[in-house]
Amino acid sequence: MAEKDLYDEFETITNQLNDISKKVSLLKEELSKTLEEKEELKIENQNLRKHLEKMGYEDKDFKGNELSYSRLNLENLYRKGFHVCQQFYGTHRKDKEECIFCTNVLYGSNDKGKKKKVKIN
Amino acid sequence: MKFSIDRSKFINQTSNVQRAISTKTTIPILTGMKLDLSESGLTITGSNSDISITAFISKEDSDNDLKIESTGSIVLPARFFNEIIKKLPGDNFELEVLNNNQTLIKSGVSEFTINGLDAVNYPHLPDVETDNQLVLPTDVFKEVVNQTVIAVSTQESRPVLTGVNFLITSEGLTAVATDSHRLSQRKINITSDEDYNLIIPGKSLTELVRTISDSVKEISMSISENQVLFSFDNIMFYSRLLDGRYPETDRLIPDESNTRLTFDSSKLLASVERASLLSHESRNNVIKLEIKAVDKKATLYGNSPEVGTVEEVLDFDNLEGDDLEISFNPDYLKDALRSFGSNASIEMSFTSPLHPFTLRPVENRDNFVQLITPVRTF
Ligand SMILES: [Zn+2]
Repeated sequence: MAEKDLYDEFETITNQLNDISKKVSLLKEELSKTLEEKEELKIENQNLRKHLEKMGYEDKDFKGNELSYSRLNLENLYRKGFHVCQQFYGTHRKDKEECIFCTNVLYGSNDKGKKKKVKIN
Repeated sequence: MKFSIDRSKFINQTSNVQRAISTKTTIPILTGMKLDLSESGLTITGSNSDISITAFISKEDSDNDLKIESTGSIVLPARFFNEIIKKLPGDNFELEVLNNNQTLIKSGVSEFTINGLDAVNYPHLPDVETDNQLVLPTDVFKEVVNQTVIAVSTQESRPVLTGVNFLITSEGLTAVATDSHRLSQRKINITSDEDYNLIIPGKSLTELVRTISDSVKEISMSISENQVLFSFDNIMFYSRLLDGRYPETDRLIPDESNTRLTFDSSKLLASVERASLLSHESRNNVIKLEIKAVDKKATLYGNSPEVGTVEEVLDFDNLEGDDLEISFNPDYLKDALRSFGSNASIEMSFTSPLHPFTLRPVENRDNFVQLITPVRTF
């Protein structure tokens, strides 16, 4: 019967709408969670940068063969096109041009005698 | 104010001062040239927000043919004034300031009246103490500037890197510039009892070396809190200094290497120029250097996906160390090679494909170094 078909179709669409609406609210939740996390990371990042500055981050060399976790992280960040040097930390590398300061942070300059003492304020 | 003067001697000096005068300044009076006439002679001044230049024309020097009738000051619109003086018919000209800063210029059959500005409103030149002067041989100073300015940054977003950092101590003078991709450092044996650490804008230095004529044997440098003054002949050249802390660059320069290549600067320059013909056509301007130590072979590769490839076997004097494959921007290498002058013997030292490599003159290795950051292609 045509009337029943119409009713069934209406039922189906109503269910689909409910589903979508559920999905949308789930997505919304997800989004706000992610945004919050982003803000938290932002703050944490700022704090870490402050901390690094205090530690005399600039003068710290990473040893070339010691693939430490933090160095790998920095290298990833650099490869994604961001500066990891103290001069321009976090800013975008224009046209992904290589940076002499970042390179020094990541791979050191293989100098031994010249290493500066870590300054702690 | 009234005087007459030899026209060509006057033009010689205005052309120096003119370097400091910009037509684009937001301060109208700075589009003018200031003339100050005292009993001893005429001082001409030009200024912009970065540099100021004064030239003194002495009455004592009879070549100047300077005849002073009355002293005084005036600011004249530089562009018109210079054009007028250049086109005047006589060997000499006479200048007289009338009422309301109107200025009369007479030479031969022609007579101009131009509107001047009151010199009282012209900004004061910076105060720079000249008690502690450093005296530098001109040729050495020009070399220091020309070898370092090539590496200054042109990006105003990184102010300190647009200048050359001068470190002067009892041990010597070190000049460093880096745009964060390459670095140039030059040292000379000029010492000072007082320590200085200053950043001079690259543009000021470029103008300065253009202003110093070949006849000048030495120049004096005086440094204050935010200005530096160079004096030579009858010229005083002021430049503002850049604010801020210059990054420490000492630790960037490697002093060990795993592969070394010695060659003639002109020969390598020619090879790099050929290789870069194609790299310039590709999106990432990069050439590759391959060193095979056992075969004693060094080869440059350049390519452009659209145009084609180039392969160039290098003619070097010596090669030692490990095999290596390294890629870099050929333009940085070209700039560096040119700064050594033609047919200089250069040593290129490499640590790894990731570490910056250096170029140094085989003689005086410690005085001059150029550093280039490689491009990672893997
Ligand atoms: Zn960087």
